[in-house]
This record gives sequence, structure tokens and C-alpha cells, in this order.
Amino acid sequence: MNHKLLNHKETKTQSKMCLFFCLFVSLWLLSLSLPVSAQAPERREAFVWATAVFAGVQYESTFTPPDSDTLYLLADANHVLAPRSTLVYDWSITNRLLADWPARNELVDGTLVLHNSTGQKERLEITDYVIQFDGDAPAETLALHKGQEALAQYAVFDQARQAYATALHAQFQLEQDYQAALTAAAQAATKGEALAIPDGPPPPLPAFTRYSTGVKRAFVLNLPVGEYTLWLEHPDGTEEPASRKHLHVFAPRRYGVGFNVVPASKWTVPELSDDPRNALYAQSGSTIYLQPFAEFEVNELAYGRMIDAQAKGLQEDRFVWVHTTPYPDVTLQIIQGRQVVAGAANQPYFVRQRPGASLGYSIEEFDPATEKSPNFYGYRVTLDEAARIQLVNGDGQPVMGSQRDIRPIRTVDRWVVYALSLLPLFIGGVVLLWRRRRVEPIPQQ
Amino acid sequence: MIGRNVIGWNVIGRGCRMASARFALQLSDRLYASWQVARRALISTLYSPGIYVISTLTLLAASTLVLNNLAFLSENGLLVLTRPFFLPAFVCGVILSLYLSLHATLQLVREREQGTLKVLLFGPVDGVSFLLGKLWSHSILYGLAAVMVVLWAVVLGQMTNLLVQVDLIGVMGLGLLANGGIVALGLFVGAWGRTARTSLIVLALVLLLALIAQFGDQALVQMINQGVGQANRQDPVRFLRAALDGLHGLILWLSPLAQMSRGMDALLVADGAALLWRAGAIIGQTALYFFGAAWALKRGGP
Repeated sequence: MNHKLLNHKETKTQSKMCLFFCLFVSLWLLSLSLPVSAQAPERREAFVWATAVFAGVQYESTFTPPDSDTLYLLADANHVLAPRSTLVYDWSITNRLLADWPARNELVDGTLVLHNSTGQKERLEITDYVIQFDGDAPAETLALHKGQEALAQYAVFDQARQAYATALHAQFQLEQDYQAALTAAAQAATKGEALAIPDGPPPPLPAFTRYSTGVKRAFVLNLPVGEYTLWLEHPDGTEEPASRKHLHVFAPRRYGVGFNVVPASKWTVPELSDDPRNALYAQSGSTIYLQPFAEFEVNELAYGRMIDAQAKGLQEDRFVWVHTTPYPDVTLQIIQGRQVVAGAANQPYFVRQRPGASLGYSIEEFDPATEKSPNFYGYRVTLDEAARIQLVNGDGQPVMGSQRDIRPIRTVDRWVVYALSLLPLFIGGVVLLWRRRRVEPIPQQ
Repeated sequence: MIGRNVIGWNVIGRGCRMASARFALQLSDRLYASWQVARRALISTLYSPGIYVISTLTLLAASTLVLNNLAFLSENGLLVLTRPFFLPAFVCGVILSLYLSLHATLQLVREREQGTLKVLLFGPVDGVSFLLGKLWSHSILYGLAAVMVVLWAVVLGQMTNLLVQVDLIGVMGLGLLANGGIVALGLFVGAWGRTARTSLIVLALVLLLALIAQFGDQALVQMINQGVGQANRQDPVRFLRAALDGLHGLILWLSPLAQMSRGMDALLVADGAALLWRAGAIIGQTALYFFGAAWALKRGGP
């Protein structure tokens, strides 16, 4: 009886232990599945180089992590390098090192020492700078001003902004007056009195499209191609330990004109023609629309790391094209042999969907009288014969790197192509047969 | 005193002239011997079906690449290409070089196993002229196949209206140099390995390693770009990538095909200096493998 009781107790204890174990394992597994973002990452103080680099058409901001030993900059352009003390932390969601700028963003005072590969040393002082552009034509108006010029340009911008604010206030007043006069005229009309109806609402004020950063302080660099070493020297002459970096200043390998090629048969699926040595192939009789833009070709690793110091998957032996500004005011020439056989201008086009349930569309020249806005602009080219296209500027000079071959493709049966590949086998057969006829068999004794 | 000096200079001059004459004689003998070896190997290869079959296979592979582009064009309505025959020509070059390298290795090993090499080396042929003959014959074979590839491209270009430009000859020229390097590597492996089986296994491993290093790294980069491995600071394949990157860098200096690929890039952007540099690198690699083969043959004996 006692033995049975003991066994029962043991079983009960075992099942309790089993329950506790299951509970413990479940809690442990639950804790594993909790999102990592719930944990506050540990922040640590670090010196970083915060950069605003000119990427060809706009400025891009990034910062170089302390464990990264190389900075990359595009040659012959103004770039901003700011020595900053901040708090950095590993963000496990994206597994990137992030800076907690709101918590700490202090400019570290000092002198930038720049050492080039020939041993020449240059010292740069921290200066004021502003970056400004006009939103209507950002690429054409983008400018970085430094020193006294930065202060002056910012003052001009500030004055323009204040003047716009005043004009906006006046406009608001005019609109208020107009509304009041309109209401008064309406009320007078209900009483049977005749009151002059004011002339239309005041014309709207054009939007303020100018943009400027505030006046900031940093080093502004504009360097030729080369390898450099840089570091920050404190006012007491000591070197900031984490500031020493290798600086790789690179230049574009090639400049050219790229084309966004829109086939009329699939206008929503354009192809890019970046390389000036590209040829454009299409079915004979098909129409394409070309949208040109300026571009340059740079090393993928250098350019990628310049705009994002933590970028991965970049290769040193590959090159990428960077698109900059469109080419709107040029003419396209079609050349056959050495003669210009046709020209095309940049025209607006409208895509008209077919009415009814059937799918399809037609691309028509844009007519402002019937349509509100064009769908796209482009140079229209129809492929009938092999030709060469090029852009020419207002002076009639060809635009460098804008030449492309355009060729209509002839349809060929695939079996004919494969049959052509059998040529070596045919030659081999002939050679072996010839050999066989020449070799005389040894007469048997 | 002056008279004694004059006599001394005369003796040195006569010695130099004799040495240079002996060197010229040795060189002409060696070139003649190597040409005889090359002629023999060339005739033997041209009278066997292998080279024709492999040339046909390379053109079939190249045709498939061209047809793939044409199929894309008919689907998409538009095709933007830089040089439509560069990749097919490169593929032809790679397949031909690999085959000719294997062929050279087998020829060398077989001639040693059958005792032909011993007979030749006891005669007027030395190791260097024998290997030079093999290199020449396989370069001529590649040249013949390259002419066929260019002809194929010209005819196909006429048929389809795809552009065939003069720089295709540059690609085949680079291929000819790279083929020399690959064949020299095959000769090195053949001279070093004592049996046909060992040589073939070693050559296959070397070529496999080169291909993994060349394309494995790119595949990994693509994988990471597509988010398979998540581009991040704690990259899950970081070590593998670093290892393949290192191997890739090493292979660049050891593989003539890797140099050929970069030479083609230089050809595309018309960078003459880079093209010369790549061609020089391939010649350097060929010389390295060739003298390695000569050393291995001398060390191992016939």
C-alpha cells in the first residue's frame, strides 16, 4: 500500500517537474521570439566624419563608421567633411551602425591635416558653408558657398524668403479683401442694392522654390584625383585618434549622353542606353522615342561608398553610370553613311487609351487644345534602315558621347543559325574524307 | 701595355661573337625542332575529329546566346547591346582554350607514357623546344578556330543585321594570348603529373577552382544584393565572401581568362594602355607556366 502511495507521489512529483520544465522551455522559447527591436541598443561615444558629398547632381549625406578606414570623394567638386562627436549604436534590424544625432551632435574643433601621396601636407581650417538650389532647376542651380560668401549668400536667401513671406502676407490680405468685397456685393444684391462686383481673385503667388541649408561649419574640400591621408589635429596639436583615414579621390572614367529608349510597342517599359558604344536594335518599321540625359561613369565601389559608407555588395572592378541632367534643347540627327537624312526635335507626346473594353493605346503628338498635359517628351525615330543618331547643340556641333547605332533586325529561322554552327563539322568531314582517300591501306602479306 | 690591352679586347670580342653565333645557331636549331614538333602535333590533331566537334559545340553555344538576344528583342520590341558578339566570342574562347589545354596535357602525358618523348629527347629535341612546339601547334589550332568564329559572326551579322565590328578581332587576339596561357598551364600540369589520370585530375581541379573563384564571388555579391544574405554589418556570408574575394584576386593574377575578360572591358572603352597592360599580364602568365613546365619536364625526365 505504502509502496503504491510512494509510487503515486513520485509520479505526481515527476508530472509537476515535467509541467515546470515545459513552462520554463515555453517561456525561454517565447523570450527568443520577442522582437529584437524591444531591446535598447547600447550607445557609445565615437568620433565620426559626417560628410555631405557632391554625387554628380545633388548632395548626399552619410557618415563614416569608426571601423571604416577609407573615405571616397569625387574629384574637382566641393565636398563637406564635418568632424563630429556623437553616440553610435548597432541597429540589429538592418545591422548597420547608426548615429544618434539628436542625443549628441558636437562639432570637434581642430585643423584638418591632408597628406598627399607625394608627401605634401596641407592644413585646412573649419569654415562656414551653405548648400543652396532652386527647386525648379535643382541640378543647374545647386551651389555650395563657403566662408564669407556663405554668409552673404545665406543673407540673400534670407532676404528673399522674408520678401516672399511679406508678399504672401500681402497676397493673403488681397484675397481677404476680395472675399469681403464679394460677400458685400452678394449681400447688397439680396437687399436690392447695386454694388460693383470686384474683378476676379488676385493672381496666385508663384511658389517659393529656393532652398538653403542653414549656415553650418565644417571643412570644405575640393581635391584633384589622388590618394591622401587625413586626420584631425586638435588646437593643442594632438591628433584625434579615430580621425585618421585614407582618402581616395576618384574621377569619372567616361562622360557621355545616356538615352531612355521608349519603344512605341511598350511605352511603359523603357530601356536604358548608357554606354556611348551601345547599339539600339528593334524590329524593322518600329518606332522608338529617345529621352537624352547627361551622365558620367564611375567606379562602383568608390561611388557607392562615397554616398553610403556602409554600402555592401559593391565591386572594385565594376563601373556604373550616374545620370545627371536632361538634354532638352538639342536636335537629334539621323545619319546614313555620312549624310544627315533626317532630324527630330524634342516633342511632347500623349498616350491615348483605346476606348471600350479592348486593351491598347496609340501615341499621338500632344495637342494642348484637346489634352491637359503630355505623357512624356522625346525624340521620335522610326527604324527602317541601319543608321546612326547623334545630338547636335544650338551651334550645330555634335554633343560628345551622344552617338548611337540604330539597326532594324532581320528575323532569321533559329535552325538556320544552328545549321551555320555546323560549319566546322562540315570542314572536318571534308578533311577526314580527303585524308582517308589519300591513305593507302598496307597490303596484307 | 697598350698592345696587351688591344689583344685582350680582341679575345673578348671574338669570344662574344662566337658565343652569339653559337646562341643564334642553338636558337635556330631549337626553333626548327619546335616547328617540327608543332607540325607533327598539328597534323595529328587536324586529322582527328575532336577539334571539329569542339569547334562545332562552341559555335552552337555561341549561337544559343545570339538567339537568346534575338528572342528577347522579339518579346520586348527593343534591344540595347554594346557588342552582340563579344560574349559569344568569349564563350567560344573559353571552351576552346579549356579543350586545347586538356588536349595538350593528354598529348604530353601520352607521349611520355608511350616512350616517344624519350626518343625525341635523346635526339635533337630538348624539353623547351618540345614544349614550344606544343604551344605553337595549339596556338595555331586556336587561331584556325578563331578565324572560323569570326567568319561565323560575320555571316550571322549579315543575316540578322547585328553589328560586327573590327574589335571582335581584338577579342579573338586576346583569346589567342589567353589560350597560350591556358595551354602552357596544361603543359605544366602534364609535365608535373606523372600519369594521365593524375594530370587530368589536377588540371580539372585547377580549372574548377578558377571558375569557382571567378563566378562564385559574383554570385555571392548578387545573392547579397538580392537580400538572400541581407547586406549588413554582420554579413552572414562575410567570411565566405572575403575568402572568395581573396581567391578571386589571386586568380586574377593566375588565370589568363580573367585577364582576357578585363582586356575585353578595356577594348570596350577603347583604353589602349589598359589593353596593353592586360595583354602583357597574359604573356607574363604564359611565360610563367611555360618555364614552370620546362622545369617540371627537366626535373621529372622523359
